[in-house]
Amino acid sequence: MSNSFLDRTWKEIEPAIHVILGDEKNSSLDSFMYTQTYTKVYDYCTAASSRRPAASSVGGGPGDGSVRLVGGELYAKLKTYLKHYLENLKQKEGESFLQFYIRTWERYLIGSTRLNDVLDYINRYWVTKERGDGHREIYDILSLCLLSWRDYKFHTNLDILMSEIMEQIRDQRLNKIESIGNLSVAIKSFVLLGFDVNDLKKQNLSVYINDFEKSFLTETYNFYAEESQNFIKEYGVVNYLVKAEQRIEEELKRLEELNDHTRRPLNDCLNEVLITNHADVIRSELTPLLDQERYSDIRRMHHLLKRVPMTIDPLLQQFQAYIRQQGLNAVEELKLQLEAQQKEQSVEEDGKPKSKKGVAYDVDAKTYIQTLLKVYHKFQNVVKESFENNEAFVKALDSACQSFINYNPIATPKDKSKSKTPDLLAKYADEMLRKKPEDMSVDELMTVFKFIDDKESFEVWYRRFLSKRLMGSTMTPEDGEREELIIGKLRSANTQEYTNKITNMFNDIRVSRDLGALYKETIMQEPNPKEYVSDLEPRILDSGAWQSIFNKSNESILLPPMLINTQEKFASIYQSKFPGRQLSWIWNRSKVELKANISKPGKPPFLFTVTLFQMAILYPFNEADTLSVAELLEATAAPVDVFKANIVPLVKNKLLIQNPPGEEAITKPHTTFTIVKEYTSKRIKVNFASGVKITDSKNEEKDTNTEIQMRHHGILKASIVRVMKARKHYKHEQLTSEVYKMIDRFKPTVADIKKAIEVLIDEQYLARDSEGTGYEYLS
Amino acid sequence: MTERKIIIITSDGDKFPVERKVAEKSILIKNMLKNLLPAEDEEEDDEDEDEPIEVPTQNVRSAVMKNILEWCDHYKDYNFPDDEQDDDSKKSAPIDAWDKNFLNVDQEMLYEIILAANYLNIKPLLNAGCKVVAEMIRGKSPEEIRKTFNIVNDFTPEEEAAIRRENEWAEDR
Repeated sequence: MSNSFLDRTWKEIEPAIHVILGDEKNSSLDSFMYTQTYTKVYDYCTAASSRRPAASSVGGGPGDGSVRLVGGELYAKLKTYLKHYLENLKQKEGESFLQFYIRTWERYLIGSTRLNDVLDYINRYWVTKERGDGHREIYDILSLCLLSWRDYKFHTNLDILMSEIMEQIRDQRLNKIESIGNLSVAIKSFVLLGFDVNDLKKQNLSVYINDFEKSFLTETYNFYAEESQNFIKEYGVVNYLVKAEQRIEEELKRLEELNDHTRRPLNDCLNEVLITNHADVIRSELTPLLDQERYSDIRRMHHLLKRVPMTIDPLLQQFQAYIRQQGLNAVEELKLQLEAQQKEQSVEEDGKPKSKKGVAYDVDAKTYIQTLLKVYHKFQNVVKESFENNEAFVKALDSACQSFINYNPIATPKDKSKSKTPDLLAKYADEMLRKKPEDMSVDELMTVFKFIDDKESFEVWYRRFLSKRLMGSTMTPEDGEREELIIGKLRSANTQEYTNKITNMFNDIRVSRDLGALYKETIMQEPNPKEYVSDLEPRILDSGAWQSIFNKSNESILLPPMLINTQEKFASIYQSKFPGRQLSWIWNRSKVELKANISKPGKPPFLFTVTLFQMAILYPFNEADTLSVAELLEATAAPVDVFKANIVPLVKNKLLIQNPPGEEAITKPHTTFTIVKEYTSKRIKVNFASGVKITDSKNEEKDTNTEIQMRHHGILKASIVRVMKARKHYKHEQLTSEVYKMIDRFKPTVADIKKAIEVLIDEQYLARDSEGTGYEYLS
Repeated sequence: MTERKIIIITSDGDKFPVERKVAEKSILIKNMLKNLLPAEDEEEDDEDEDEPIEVPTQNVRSAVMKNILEWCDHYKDYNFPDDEQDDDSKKSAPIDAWDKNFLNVDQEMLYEIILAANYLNIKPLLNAGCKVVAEMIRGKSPEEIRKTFNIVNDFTPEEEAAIRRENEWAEDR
């Protein structure tokens, strides 16, 4: 190989290479120089190759078997030249290093790309062959140029370069300069300077990440750590929310100038320095902002914090606690209001407060339920306005509402007392169905129902009120539809089984109507229909669903003789239709309509509605005008208190005249009652029955709660048996927690569960195991 | 912007005006145009836009260039796939009929076309030329090959025997 040929070739192409990379005069490259340089290199490589010693490969080693290509000598000369060229680039006067770097880089990158094409013949054969043979230290011409830049221009000046770049970014953050357009040229150069030696085409960000990104992130962190600290101190959290949002937006826009690799670390960095580090301070503003109803500020807070999901959990807790407290406050306020009203009334009535132990007050179901709903709706709106109906916040709202709706100063005046909310909600439903006011709705009912822990309690109360509605007055078809609607909603909100009893109550009423018709048909065929009451409206009720009706059903009486036929006839009809069923008579619910011929002469007879007891009391007056208490008690066989309750409306409405008068005398044996000769009333129909108090409301609450407790107990027992049947043998704690999880209609206490277990042991469904820590199932 | 005219100048000074897409079949010329034209736009040279650009090809004489340009013109609207991975299938593919006919020239011209294709970096033409040469070798004995290409046997009998032994495995059987 001729060295002189190499030297001559290099000498011929060197000036062109200088022009291509860029000389001081910025001479331009023309097509003649271009192809001539290419041709010189071509000539050198091809001529030198063909001149190689011939056939030296015979019998040689494996390496010699391959063709040797020429180009390495030119490559080596170029490498040296590039080092020299780069080291001699001159910084202009008044030019910052960064400007110098950007200016020369832009030119050098163009030059390198051109040089790569002009020297293509070296790339095409020699470089390809070398790399193919595993020489990873050989690069194509463009890569060689870039690597030279990295080694002689970039790394050697790294400190000054980075410090000037960071200064520029800082200036921009401080709004000192408008644009950093040029900066992106420098930053993009870092991307091109990273190489994967095994695959030159693959992007490698090692230079960008190690030499630029790291210091950029540190700089960013430090800058915002200081700024955010000072900003919050000076302008407060609410303004900071705007500022931080704006800063994040700016920085993310900067990403356009950076490599996308920085997106995540920059996000993480900003989140930490702008959000996580101040999360506690930011969150502490939630309560005052809620107090001031500044929902758009809260929205901003949520928007910022949600960039860092872990800051949301404490926010949720705070929000939930706030709603709960607002709920409790609202109820407390209502309670104080009710107490004050009650006090006023009792003062008016008695002239002095009733008792020292706090004033007893009646809770108006409608006001109470609507107070709860008002809080719910208010914060439902906050969830929408400020938290975009985010699922987690909806859940927090629901949890908070569930808490204060079930447990609050009115529902649970004492800790651990049974919540009165289900009772009041049932009352609300009753009021809505009876009075049909416009400001009560099924939706409101269902909203609160959803939050009620003790659904059993609600169901029992609901049936109690329903039984009164069904028994009390006639239901119009529209009323029936409204009832059905609610039952349907309760069913879909809970289970089919949940509304079974309620549905059965409606069925009972329907079946009873049919039985009434059947009775009427039957007596019409009797030889002597007059011996029977013709218009009988029987109510045949299932004792399970109508339990409240069956309370006190033991109040007995001697039936007036004229009704005995009717009773026996109906009983026989019923027994023949439903053999095997037991029919119990509940006299205290019966009502009778009487025609009374005691009007003034010439006037039509009165129609009296009376209870069966009242009828029994009045019946003997057909024979005598005046009767003593002793005689009446003997005739009716009614208990004294029942007698009293029933006779009072008759006296008050001046049908009977009591002698001597006064409440205390009513039950004295010698007191007499005389029936008036001519009754006076503006109306023809007089209702004496409505004045009779069947049970006072205090007992009603007690009875209902007893029923609820029995239901709870029953459900607990059933659940325990179900668990034990599957497990056969189970530890006490496991059983308790599984049963607790299983029951969703109310929240049993540990004591409730223990009691149910005891009962099941007594009933020999379960036995304690030998260790005494668990139970066994006895089949 | 009207397309600038391209004039290829051969080693013996002949000028061939050609369409850009014809000239660009040569990667050498294509790269050169890519490198020189936009740069001149930017620099606002006093050179007129309409001024044709001259491309000197120092290593190709005009008789050969005429053939090369005929080939380039034929393929001017065809895009050759430039995936180098698929080399094997390309190697084994038969020579295109038009190429075969086009390359049906005397050995000297064929040789010069191959060299020019390499110099101008026209890969499909280079491949076609090499295939034609390979066809000329296929199935021939060393003696016949020497005759075809006018090669003088400069091996000693010992050397030749050694080579035969070494390459025995490759013999067709």
